[in-house]
Amino acid sequence: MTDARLTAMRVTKVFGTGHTAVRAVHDVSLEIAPGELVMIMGPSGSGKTTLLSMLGGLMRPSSGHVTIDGIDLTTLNESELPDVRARKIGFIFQAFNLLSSLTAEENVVFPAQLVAGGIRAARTRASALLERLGLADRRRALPRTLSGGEKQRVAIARALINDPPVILADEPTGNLDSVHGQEVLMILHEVARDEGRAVLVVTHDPRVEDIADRILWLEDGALRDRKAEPHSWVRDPVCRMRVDEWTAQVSTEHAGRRYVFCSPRCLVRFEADPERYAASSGAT
Amino acid sequence: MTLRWIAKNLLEERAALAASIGGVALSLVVVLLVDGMFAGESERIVTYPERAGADVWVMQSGVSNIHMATSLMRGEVVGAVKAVRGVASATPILNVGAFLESRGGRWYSYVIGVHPEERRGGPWAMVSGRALPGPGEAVIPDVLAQKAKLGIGSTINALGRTFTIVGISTDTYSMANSVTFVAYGDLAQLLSVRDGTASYLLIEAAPGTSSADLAARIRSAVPDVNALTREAAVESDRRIAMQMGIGIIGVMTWVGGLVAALVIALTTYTATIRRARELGVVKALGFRQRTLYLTVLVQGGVIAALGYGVALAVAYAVRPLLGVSTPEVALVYPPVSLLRLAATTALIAIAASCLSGRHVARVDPAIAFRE
Repeated sequence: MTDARLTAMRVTKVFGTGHTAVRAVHDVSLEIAPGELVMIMGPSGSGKTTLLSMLGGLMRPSSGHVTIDGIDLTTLNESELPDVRARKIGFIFQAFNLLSSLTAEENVVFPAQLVAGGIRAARTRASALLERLGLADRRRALPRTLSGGEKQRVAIARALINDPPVILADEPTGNLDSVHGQEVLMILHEVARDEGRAVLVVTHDPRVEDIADRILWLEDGALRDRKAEPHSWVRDPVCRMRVDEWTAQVSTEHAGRRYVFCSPRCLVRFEADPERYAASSGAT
Repeated sequence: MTLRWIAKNLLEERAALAASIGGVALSLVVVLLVDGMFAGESERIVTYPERAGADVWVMQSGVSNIHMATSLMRGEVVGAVKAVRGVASATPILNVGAFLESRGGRWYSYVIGVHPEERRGGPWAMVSGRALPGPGEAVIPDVLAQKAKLGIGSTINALGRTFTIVGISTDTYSMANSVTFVAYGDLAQLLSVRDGTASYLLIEAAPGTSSADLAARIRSAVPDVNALTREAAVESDRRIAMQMGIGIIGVMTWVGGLVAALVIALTTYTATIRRARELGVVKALGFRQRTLYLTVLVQGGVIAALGYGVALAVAYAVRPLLGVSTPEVALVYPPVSLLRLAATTALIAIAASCLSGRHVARVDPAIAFRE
């Protein structure tokens, strides 16, 4: 793939030295083309966030190269990296990470001051993005008054405001219920397919498989072949969404049985009235 | 937009902002009040040499002050000074520091002996009664009269003698240097000095003679005396007053400044800690380190500026109240002192922000990926 927007070549990250050294990411290579949505899955502690941090220029690899839109991030110094992050990469975080004192529109516009054209031109773009993401009437709302789904849509608008060729999303549906999670996935799909951006999603959410062009499996810091049967599908007893019990992050024990959930939100509802949901199919 | 974000961050935590501004203001108010009291007292201390009516002050050789000094000149010396060309008149006064006693209270005052027929050396503004005392009489300052509950006809004891109050003057009181007037003859008797002896001579320059020239001429013509223009005498007394208080002012300024610095540092530091994640996110989005430094600096600057403003408002609000409740204390805020404190506050804000800046530099942008 020669026209890849995002390339990682033999990227390794080692924390510590000597016998205390921990190899968080080992010899990972990948390429993502324009318009492609790639999903990285793997168990907790497999090095997904470390890999994402290196691909986003937030952490330097111990060895290997990361290239975004033809720019080798590993050759840039600390004063050059912020500019690449501002212009070339849109970040979407699991915790949304909106600036709490700014309105939805201000959050979207905020990174635009880093690129040519500045705030004034960005306001028009921000309005269009908020409109497109169904937030036109919420532009003056503060983050604390937004629902989880709205917050993540604002975060997506912020990631897109500077028109970056690469979008890096870390568990973008991790804090959302099924409905809002589905919305966010569809938006990411559009961002890749319709706008030609390279989208990399690190997630445990099996629904991403339905929209991903490729799925990569990261385990013990290295990309591996995906297991033949990686899923064991069960239903979230609360929202009835399909959940992979093998990779599920949210679970609880009740009456000697294990229940898995799509999100902490469903767990909270379950714990409020376990008997109501216990008979459902989420138990394993 | 960055400044807007910083401002909104500050306003989002109104209670913390108010507490920080209050803390800074409190520490600066202490500095302002101490400084203001000292400046006020320094002004009052020099009122007598400024208002007594002398163009030139003549005193014993080796003495260069009226405040905190003892001077005594023989009658022959006084005569020699009067003979100097350019001297239109020379008014001798006697001066001694003494405790005034009345109704069990004691108050320290300079007791000035003035000739009842002289125009110079006595009080220049009166609240009531006569300005110049005769034998056995005294004129006391209004603040002292108020504090001691004395009036015309009351008596006070000084230097072992009782005086009847015949006048109450104003503008003659300070905590360190109140001025009470008695008859020259009474004081000469109490000090056991001959008639014609003077502590100081208040010289009136002849028309067309400059004070500076006359002072120089007296110094060269009469070897046993020192002569200073009114301005030089005032400046000399002011300098003495400043020297006496500069240590206290310095310590108070340091203490106040240190407290203000700690408050600003603590505020910006805790705000930085509280918002470490947001700062990490901002870094991840592509903002440079300097934006984050600016955040902390502006935050510290705003707190310092508002704290200074509040302190100034409080200091000026206190002034008239103090004038009523504690008339012996005068508050004066010289513009140069206010500017110096403003500059000090700005430096404090920068220094305090630098402490938080170190923490800002260490914020990891990858924190944005952690839940």
